[in-house]
Formats: sequence, C-alpha cells, structure tokens
Amino acid sequence: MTSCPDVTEWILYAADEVSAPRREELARHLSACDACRRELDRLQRGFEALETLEAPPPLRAEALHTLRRRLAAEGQRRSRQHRRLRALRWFGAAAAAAAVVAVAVFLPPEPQQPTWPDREQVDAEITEIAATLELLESDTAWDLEPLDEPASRETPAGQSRSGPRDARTRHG
Amino acid sequence: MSISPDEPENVQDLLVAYAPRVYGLVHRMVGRRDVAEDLMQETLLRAFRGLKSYQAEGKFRAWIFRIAVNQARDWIRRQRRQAVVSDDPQPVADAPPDGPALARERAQTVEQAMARLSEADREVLLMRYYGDMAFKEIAQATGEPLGTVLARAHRALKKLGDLIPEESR
Repeated sequence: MTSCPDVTEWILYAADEVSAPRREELARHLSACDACRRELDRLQRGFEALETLEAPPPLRAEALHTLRRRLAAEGQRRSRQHRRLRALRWFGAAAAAAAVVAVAVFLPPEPQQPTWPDREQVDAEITEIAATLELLESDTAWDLEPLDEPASRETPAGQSRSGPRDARTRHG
Repeated sequence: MSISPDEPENVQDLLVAYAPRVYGLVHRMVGRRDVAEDLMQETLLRAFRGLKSYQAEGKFRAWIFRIAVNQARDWIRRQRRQAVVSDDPQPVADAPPDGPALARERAQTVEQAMARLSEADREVLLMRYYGDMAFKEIAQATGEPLGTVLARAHRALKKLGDLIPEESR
C-alpha cells in the first residue's frame, strides 16, 4: 500500500476537485486503507451536514428590482462622467493647438543666420577684380587718347602732356 | 471570462445574475433577510464601480464573493461594536421555516455547530456551499493559500461530520 495522502486531499476528492488520474490513484488507495476510508467518510458527513442547513428565504423581487434600478442609475452617472471627461480632453487638445498657433504667430521671428554668397560667384568676382587690377597695372591701361586741350592752355612746343607712361619712359 | 466595462448593460445583467448567490451567502453570514438584501445590492454596486480594479487573471466570481464576504464581515463588526456600547436589544435572525421536526432539529444542530466555528473556517464552508465555489476559487477570494483554505475546510467539516451519525448514511 502506498503512503496515505494528506488529509486535505480527501477534501478535494469528496468535493470532486481532483483530476481523473489522481482520482483513480486515490480510489485504489482507499480500497486498501481503512484509516483513509474513515477520514473520507467523516468529511463526506460534514458536506452532508451542510446540506441539512435551511435554505435562506428567497430573494424578493423588489430587492432585485431595486438592484437593477441602482445599477442603471450608476451606469448613467458613469456615462455622463465619461462624456464630460471626453469633452474635457477634446477642449484640452483644442486649447493646446490654439496655444501652439498663437505662439507661432505672435512670437518675434528668430534672428536669421547670415547668408553666405555662393562660392562660385565669389570666385568669379575675385577673378574679375584681379583681372581689372592686372589691366590697370598693364601699360595699355594708360594708353589713353589725349584730351582736346583748350587753346589757352596749349603746352609749349616740344613739351607734351604726358601721362605716367611718358614719365616712366623718361625715367627709363 | 472577459468583462468589458465599455458594455455597461451587459455587465449589469451579469451582476444581476449573481444576486441570488451573493444574497444566499451573505444571508448565511448575517442571518437577516433585509440586511442580506441590502448587502447584496451594495456588493454588486461596488463591483460595478470597481470593475477597473478587477484583475482579469482572477475569477470574476471569486472577486464578487470576496467583496460580498468583506461587506458581511464589516456589517457583523459594526453590529458587535454597537452591541458593546448599546443596551438596545439586537435584531434577531430570521426564524427558520417550518418543516419536518427531525430535519428541523438536525438543521438547528448544524446551525449551532456552524456558529461555533471560527469566522474564517465558517466562511470557507459558506463560500463552497452557497457560492458553489471550488476551493481554488475560495483561495483566490480570501487571498489565502490553497493549503490554508483546505486546512480550514478540514477542521470545519470534521466538526460538522461528527454531528451526523455514521449509521444515518
């Protein structure tokens, strides 16, 4: 014979709350163990005693009706609360959106970062300036047509108005 | 069982379906019909209000009965406190209905034995019998380990079993 199961297991057995395989094992044990049979019998009489208790007086229809009415009132109260909450949430979201728009419209614009000219454009301008300077430095830049002088201011013969070129020529 | 608080009418119907069992359990604890009906209503209203706190992994029935047992316990405690400070006669429990003399006598004997059980031991039997709850569900409802619940049931059933003579079976 296997060792006796815990007494609490006989409660589950009597209450039909054990699995089918375990029930079979316990039944096999019972057939060979007087002590466990007596234990189970005592517990079953305990369950039987509960059966002898008088049933409570039936629940009155009026009490059920009151329960339904109170549950319905509570349900309506919750629905109203739910609708108010939803409206509050909607209002909150709308207020937040309005605040964002107001900030975007009324705040002074952020100082703009200086914009740098296009690199190629700068290069082109530098090249042009360099070319101009080179031209100025070159002899041809000063090879100008003499201006028509007024007669009173005619230079003496042999003395010409000379520009830098002539000066340089003289010095050279 | 899945409970959707978004379907209040379904939930209300479900709670109303529990009313007779909750009433039976609570009546057995407090012994008065009017009080049991009030406590049944309070229990199911509390359940309706507290649906969000219901943990879906537990049994809905166990959750409801836990609320019911707590309601009845609170009422019994209040009565005891009032009994200490007041000389007013306490309301008597409902008289047992008429029936065959032997059965009535046995029922009274069992009632007396039940009354002598500790509150916690008695509640386990009431939940099993009136709530039609499995012992695992009772463990969930009371928040006690299954072993403790079974030990309580064992103690109580042995006492009640001794009231029923062996030859009567």
